[in-house]
Amino acid sequence: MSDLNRDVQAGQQLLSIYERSKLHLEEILDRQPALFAIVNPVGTVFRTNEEVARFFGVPLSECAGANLSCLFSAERWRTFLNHLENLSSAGKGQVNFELPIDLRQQEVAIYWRLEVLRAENSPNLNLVVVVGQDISDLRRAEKQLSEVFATAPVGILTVEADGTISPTYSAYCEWLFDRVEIAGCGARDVIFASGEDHLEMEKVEAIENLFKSISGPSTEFEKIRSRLPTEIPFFSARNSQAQKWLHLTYHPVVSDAKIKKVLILIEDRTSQFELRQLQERASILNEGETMRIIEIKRCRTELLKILVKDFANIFEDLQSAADSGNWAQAKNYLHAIKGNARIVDFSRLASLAHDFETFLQEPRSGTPEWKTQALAQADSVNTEWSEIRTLIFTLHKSMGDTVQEQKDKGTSTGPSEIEQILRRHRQAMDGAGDPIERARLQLALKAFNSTPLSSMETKIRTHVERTAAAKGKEATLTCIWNDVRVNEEVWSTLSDSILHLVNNALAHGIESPQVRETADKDRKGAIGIEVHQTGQQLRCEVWDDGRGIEIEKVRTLAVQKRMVTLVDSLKQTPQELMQLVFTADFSTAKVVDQTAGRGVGLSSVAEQVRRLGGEIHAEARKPVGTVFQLTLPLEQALPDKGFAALSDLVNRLDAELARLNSQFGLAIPPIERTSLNDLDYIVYCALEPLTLALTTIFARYASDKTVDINLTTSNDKLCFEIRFVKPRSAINLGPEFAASLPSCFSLCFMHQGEISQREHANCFFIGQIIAAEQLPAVKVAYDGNLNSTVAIETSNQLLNIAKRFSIKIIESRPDEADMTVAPGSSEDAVCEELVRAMGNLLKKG
Amino acid sequence: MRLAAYLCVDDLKIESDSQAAPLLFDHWMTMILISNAELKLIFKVHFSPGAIGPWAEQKFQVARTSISPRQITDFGKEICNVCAGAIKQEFGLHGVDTGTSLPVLCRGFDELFFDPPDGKRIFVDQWRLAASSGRIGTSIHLDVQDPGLFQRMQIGKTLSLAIASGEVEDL
Repeated sequence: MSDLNRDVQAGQQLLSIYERSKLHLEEILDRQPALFAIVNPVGTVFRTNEEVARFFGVPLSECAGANLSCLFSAERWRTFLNHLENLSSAGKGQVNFELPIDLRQQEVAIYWRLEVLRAENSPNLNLVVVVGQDISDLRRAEKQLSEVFATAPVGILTVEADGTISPTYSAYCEWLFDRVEIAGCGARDVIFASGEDHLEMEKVEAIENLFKSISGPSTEFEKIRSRLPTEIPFFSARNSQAQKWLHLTYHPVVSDAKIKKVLILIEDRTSQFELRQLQERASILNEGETMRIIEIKRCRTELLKILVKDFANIFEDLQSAADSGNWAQAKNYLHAIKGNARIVDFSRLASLAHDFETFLQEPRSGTPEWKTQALAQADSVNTEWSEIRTLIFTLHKSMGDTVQEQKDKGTSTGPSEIEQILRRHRQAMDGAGDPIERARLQLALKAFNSTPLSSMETKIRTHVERTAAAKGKEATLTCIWNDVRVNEEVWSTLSDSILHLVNNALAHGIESPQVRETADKDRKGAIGIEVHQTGQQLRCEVWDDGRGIEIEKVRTLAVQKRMVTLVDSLKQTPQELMQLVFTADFSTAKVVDQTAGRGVGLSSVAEQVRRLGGEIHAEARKPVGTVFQLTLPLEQALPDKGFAALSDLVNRLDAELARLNSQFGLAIPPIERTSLNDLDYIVYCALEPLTLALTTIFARYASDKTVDINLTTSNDKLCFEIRFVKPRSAINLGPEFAASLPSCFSLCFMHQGEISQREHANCFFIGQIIAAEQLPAVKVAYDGNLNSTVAIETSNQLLNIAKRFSIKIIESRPDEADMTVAPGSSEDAVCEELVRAMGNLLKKG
Repeated sequence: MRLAAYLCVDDLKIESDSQAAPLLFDHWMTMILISNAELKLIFKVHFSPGAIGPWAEQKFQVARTSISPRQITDFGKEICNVCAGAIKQEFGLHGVDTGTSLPVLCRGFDELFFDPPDGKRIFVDQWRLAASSGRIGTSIHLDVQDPGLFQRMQIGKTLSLAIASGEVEDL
């Protein structure tokens, strides 16, 4: 081969290499993710890429000569063409604009950049390079963000350079500032003006500087940041009584090292602030005052109002009785005060009234010394009430006015149910009333002092509907409240927590209908709330059937955040790892994304629950979703159970039913025991509360029909079968029956109660009964010399009591004994000790 | 008629496409240089896979779906090569020895930036070759260094007229 041939061959090879290289470059351009085209001034395409071909719906190789106009509606194409023509006639430069394309009846948001293409070797070519970026995802995200923006319980607004509020602000701002349409208003007027007088001068200056700093260098903001007020009082222009405490955070929006705007996030911290104030006050007050404040805060406002009004009269009467030396009358008033104070848990007042009552029973009454002491005690009861009353008016400002107004006008709108119950309770406390009736009235008043959890359902349901709609999701809400009632503090905490968890489920757990359908789920997500009360504990579950928490992401994030080492995290169970979502550090937006959207606010929920002595757990729900479990301790005490002969229980029930028959004209016959010898059984129960609960329930049944009650046993339970004989005109029992009913059912449930419905009958099962012959023997140790006469008497007393209940007694060493008896103990004391010991044995057994 | 024979089509016709000048292009363009010291002739074929696919199918006797994009572009280059071979042969028959390059493939869009040879005398023409089963666009840029060349070739007058009128049927 000649040199020339070799040179030619080499040239040809180089040309091949160049060709391949150029084709690779062309391919890269073809695959650019943005829309790319080179067009002439009328939009004819000379060069384009696969993304455009995809929108055209033809192969890339067929796009040459097509026109961009087919991507647009006629109107939008005119806009695009206008840009194209202007640019072409200018012969240089570029233009950027947003214009959606209309693709198969669907809009796709595109951000366009048009630039004149100059080719030096073809100066007459008039071409424009068109680049379009699909920003529909961005717009969708913006839309979602704005929806969240509108529904989030946080005030978000931006302040413009001229100090006015920008047009876009979160809807919550309007609620916070108690006014509508705040766009364009002066931010200082809206946010700060009402409470500025309460701020330190330094803070006011910082606010002034904040507004001056906008448009200035970003460094200016840094200088004042630490001095800006983060907690401000706010007074509504419409209602000066409605004071809020707002927590503010400031974020400058910086561009080119200059502050363009200032973003302010505003939270309503009124309740936290008040609580903190209370705690601060409590720390400087004495123990009694702290206790009073806590007790007042626990009490329902409505009940407090009535109590204040009622006590005003009783204390006046007490004072008159004391001044005139009518101590018998004073004792009745004290009894009423004690009863009412116990209802609202004013422990110190109840205790002082009780002590005074005891004092009045002393035999040396009437002596001058005794009289001085009696007046002193009357004074301390009065002082205590005066202290409480002052605190009530301080904590509930409007209440003083209401009470005062009523007193001034002397008007009465007729007694409410709660007033009726209070009045009857006062009468019952005079001493003549039946103890069970008193207990029923107290239970009713307690019930009035609590709120059913079901009352929050409407609020939650509305929230679910609105939030789901705003987020383009569908969800159903199932609520099971089980008639649980709680005090205001627990209600408020649970309400906040449940709302937060439901919000979280909607925002991050429940998927969009499209995603759910793809995952073979129902289009509609399901959210559930279920509340149970077991003894002294309230258990609340909030669940959803969404995507659930990804435990591996939680682990990764925990390690990244150095909350746990990788090695330790691998040792942790999923439940332990899941607890990390409740730590404050997990509550950032970034974390939310990385942990399947869980974490926002969970730490605050956990904090609130723990503040009330409760616990919170999260776990995966089977088959899908997440369940949050909240447990809270309740104040309602489980009645002390002991053992009682069944015959005692039945006799008490019969006696109370007979009293109710006579009081209300009911016709409940004595309880039938056709196949039962009630002497053969012992019932493990709280005798008085159970009697109260069962008779209240039976009376309610018998109020509009005649009934028979038959008692049998079923395994280890009593079965009260209430048979409906025939309906009759309804008898109006006192309001206390309706009010105390939920608590009565709760009492039954505390006795392993169950209800089953049969035709013409309802069956109440109450546990636990024990056949007398199966009662365990009680080991007894005697404290002291057994041979003394006193000891023998005590021993005989014990044996007699044991015989009555068919209990076997075994003497034993003190260290092995179930009970110890001191010689000389009273019969009551011995009986009480035996009940306690047997109760313990039954609990064990 | 050499191309018609190569493509196995019997209805191949030349269509004048002067209206499209100078923007005759398609998705692909393949070009070849025929030259010696006195002339430089660039011959270009513009085609799209869709337009020459049926010819490739017929030529290789396989289904269109089993012809890869690379085979299609190679086929386009071969069409260019066949035409260039005919031109070279015609020059040879008239005593003008020329050399030819390999055909080079690029995007049709490059036509817009095509830089014609900087010669003294340039002939530019374009036309389409169409059959019922497919079509391509073709163009030439002829740069003649010596104006007496065609006189010496004896057929110069005929060829130059043919080129000028677009009647290059000898291809």
